[in-house]
Amino acid sequence: MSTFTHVVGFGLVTSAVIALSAVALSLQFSVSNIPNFAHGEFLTLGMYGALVTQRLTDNIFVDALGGAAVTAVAAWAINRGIIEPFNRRGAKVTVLFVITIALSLMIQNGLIVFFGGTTQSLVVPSYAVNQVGPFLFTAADEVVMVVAVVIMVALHLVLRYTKFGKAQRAVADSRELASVTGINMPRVVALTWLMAGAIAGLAGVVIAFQGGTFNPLTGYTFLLVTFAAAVAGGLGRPYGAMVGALILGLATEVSGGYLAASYKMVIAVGILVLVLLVKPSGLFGAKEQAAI
Amino acid sequence: MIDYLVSVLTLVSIFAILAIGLNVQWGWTGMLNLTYITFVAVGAYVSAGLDVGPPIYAGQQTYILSLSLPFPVAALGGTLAAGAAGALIGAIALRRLRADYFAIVTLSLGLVVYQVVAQNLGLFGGQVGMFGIPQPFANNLPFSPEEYTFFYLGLCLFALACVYLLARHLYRSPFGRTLRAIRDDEVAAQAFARPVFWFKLRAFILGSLIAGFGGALLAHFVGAFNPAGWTPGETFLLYTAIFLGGTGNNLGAILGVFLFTGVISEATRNFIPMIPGNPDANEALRGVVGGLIIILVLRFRPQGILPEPRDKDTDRDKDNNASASLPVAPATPQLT
Amino acid sequence: MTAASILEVTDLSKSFGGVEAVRKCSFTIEQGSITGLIGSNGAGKSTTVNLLSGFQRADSGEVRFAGESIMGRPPHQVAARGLIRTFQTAREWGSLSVMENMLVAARAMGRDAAWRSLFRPRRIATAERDDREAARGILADLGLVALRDDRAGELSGGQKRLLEFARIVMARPQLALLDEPLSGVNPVLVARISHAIEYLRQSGITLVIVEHNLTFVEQACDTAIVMALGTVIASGTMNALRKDPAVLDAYLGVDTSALGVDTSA
Repeated sequence: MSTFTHVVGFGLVTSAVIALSAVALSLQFSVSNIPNFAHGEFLTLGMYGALVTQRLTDNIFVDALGGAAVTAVAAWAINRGIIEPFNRRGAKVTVLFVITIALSLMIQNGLIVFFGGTTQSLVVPSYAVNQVGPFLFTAADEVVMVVAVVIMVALHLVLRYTKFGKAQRAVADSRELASVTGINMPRVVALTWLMAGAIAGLAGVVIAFQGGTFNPLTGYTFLLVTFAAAVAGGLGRPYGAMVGALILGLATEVSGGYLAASYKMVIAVGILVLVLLVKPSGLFGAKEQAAI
Repeated sequence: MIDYLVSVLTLVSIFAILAIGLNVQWGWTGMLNLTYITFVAVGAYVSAGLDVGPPIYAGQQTYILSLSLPFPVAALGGTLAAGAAGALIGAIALRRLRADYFAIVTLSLGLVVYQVVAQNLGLFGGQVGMFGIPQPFANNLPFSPEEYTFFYLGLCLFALACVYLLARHLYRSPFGRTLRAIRDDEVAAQAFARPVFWFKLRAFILGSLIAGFGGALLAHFVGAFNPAGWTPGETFLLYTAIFLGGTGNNLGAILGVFLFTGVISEATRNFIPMIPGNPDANEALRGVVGGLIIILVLRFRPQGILPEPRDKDTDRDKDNNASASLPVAPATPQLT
Repeated sequence: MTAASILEVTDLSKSFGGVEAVRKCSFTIEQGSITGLIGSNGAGKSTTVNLLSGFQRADSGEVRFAGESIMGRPPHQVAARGLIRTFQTAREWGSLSVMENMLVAARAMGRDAAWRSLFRPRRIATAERDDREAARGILADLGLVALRDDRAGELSGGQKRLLEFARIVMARPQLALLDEPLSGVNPVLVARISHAIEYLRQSGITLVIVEHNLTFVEQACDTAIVMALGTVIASGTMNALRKDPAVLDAYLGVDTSALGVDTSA
């Protein structure tokens, strides 16, 4: 197997991980119109949630669900207790953004206080390598990609065909309009955060699963590339986030195979800045508020 | 005990300078620069490179410049370098982006700079950083090491006074007023002939210059500088300080730093017991407190402790017939 | 082109995603006049205002202001040349005082450069003193002078509108585009606003007023331009327009030339 297929393989796996994270971010942005700087911490909460659950049961699926559940509840609570009250008071986007930054630091440091800053790891089955087409994947890689695809498909079905999905899309389009047409807007927003939290938590578990070790800051290291993917695809557009994740995952891993590994992040930033300079609303056009 | 106080006060005065610079970008102009610390670092590294000599441990430490210039020149060089970085990063980040994208882009660009510096050993010592930075004027003055700390505190306080007076003058000037108008409503500012991009860029550069100056003072106070002291958390602490003390108010920036860094930080450091087995907990607790303060301030007193200074035209108006009417004035009742 | 026309719009066009918001719109504004710009919702009035003031870019057409083309120029440059616009909601600088709003509005070309404050403080202080004097006069004429140290964000809706007019007088433009100056204003205050608009004209400013309130347009404006479906369909005095079948058709959807009906909303 050549270097190229090697890194493309990595790219696909990375894209899967980023896609989960970016889709969650886009969902949450679509109903609240603020980029959540604490999103990385949602990933981390998933990891630690799974860790705690693992003390109760060895079943890796239950552990994953535990991580997702913890994050889902945290996300719901943050929205209900902090984001929505500020939104209702008409707080400016920058103020809310700063609050999410504060939350990010509080959660990171809170985790350090409770668990210590040392690295942790989840107990996972061994990493045998399989040949799938031209690529070499471990069991972990395969699980990651399968989970990502399953979640994407499930999300698509929910958004397209359920009553909640339609309500969610209406709220994403316009909060005011949606509430006027009889949709229980606060409830849709709360449920969207719950859903986004669950997906983000799952993304965190998957990262821990695949990467082996993690610490309270691990989620934060994914924040930038998640933003890059979500913004490049158009904030608030979950399908755009998936495309953005694919582009970023492949671009960073393929270039990482030929340049130094630390430049992966530089590539991600470069793509983000380039997309924003050329098309400020992202590839598929973000939810924008009118300037005038 | 005295040493400790002198040390804390010196640090507080340097951070106060940094807070004033950040206030220019955020408080005056409404720009959320998430990587302010990068400009502090540029000032620190460049000024250090300019006045430090050849490396003490040749082969283990490498960096560029190393010109052994006197401190004032080094400080000036660091300041200007930070300003140049501000011009570059600002020009990219300010191009037709909404406020939160701007913040993300500044963070991203800052991280790129961080990577470039941290990974390149030959530039500014990589992860090891710069150390052995000479104390300013130490060779020319007959001070004992203890007396020198007082001298340096005095130097920093003097620098703070200068920066504060400069900021106060600019805040009240037409320039400062236009920046605040842009912060309140930049569309209206455009409708009244203000080139918003250029004003924002100028404010960004001004903040960066102050950051670089503070960075130079910081590096020479500590005697060393490396990527560990250069995290987004540092920027965040400064934001906490200005939110607390009063956004837009230059005195508020100083007050906020004093309260947060001086009082709260030191109090938590000394009075909260260490948790056994968890050495990072104490510092982490300060992070939690910091975040909580920001959220509470934004919820209950968003403008901070000190409100923005008000312009009082009635004080300036020496004429007593200020309310004389011209013929066009209609005889209709006053609006409520 | 007559010697006294200050604004000439020729075949202005703009589409948004296939929808023609403005379609070959053409009109001329005489210096010193007050012209109304009327039409039902969706006629393209707001877009036209945005295009003229530079906040949106036209797809094609030509706009000449005071003899020079301003097509494609960014908003701050259009304003610098003397064409200032207002918005449908009053956009005051809320945290600044009323007087500071006036000082910013004065189009002091380049005076607010940072270096100038540092190196020419006395010249700036003198110019500011003159500005404050002028501002007090204007605020007095509009009944706002007692409020000049109050934060603009704390004014009532009507006071904010008057501040808008005060700022325009302060800026001394050649032409002011007023975008629905009566929207959100208490009917009781309409007379007050009318006086203020007359004050603008007496200050030598040519006015173009976008409005829905046709009684107001009749009383305040010399002539009116009627837009429908993105283009100008008629112009002239209100009396003439009232009898124009094209205008009636656009407004009422009924072909009645016999009805000399007052179409006040």
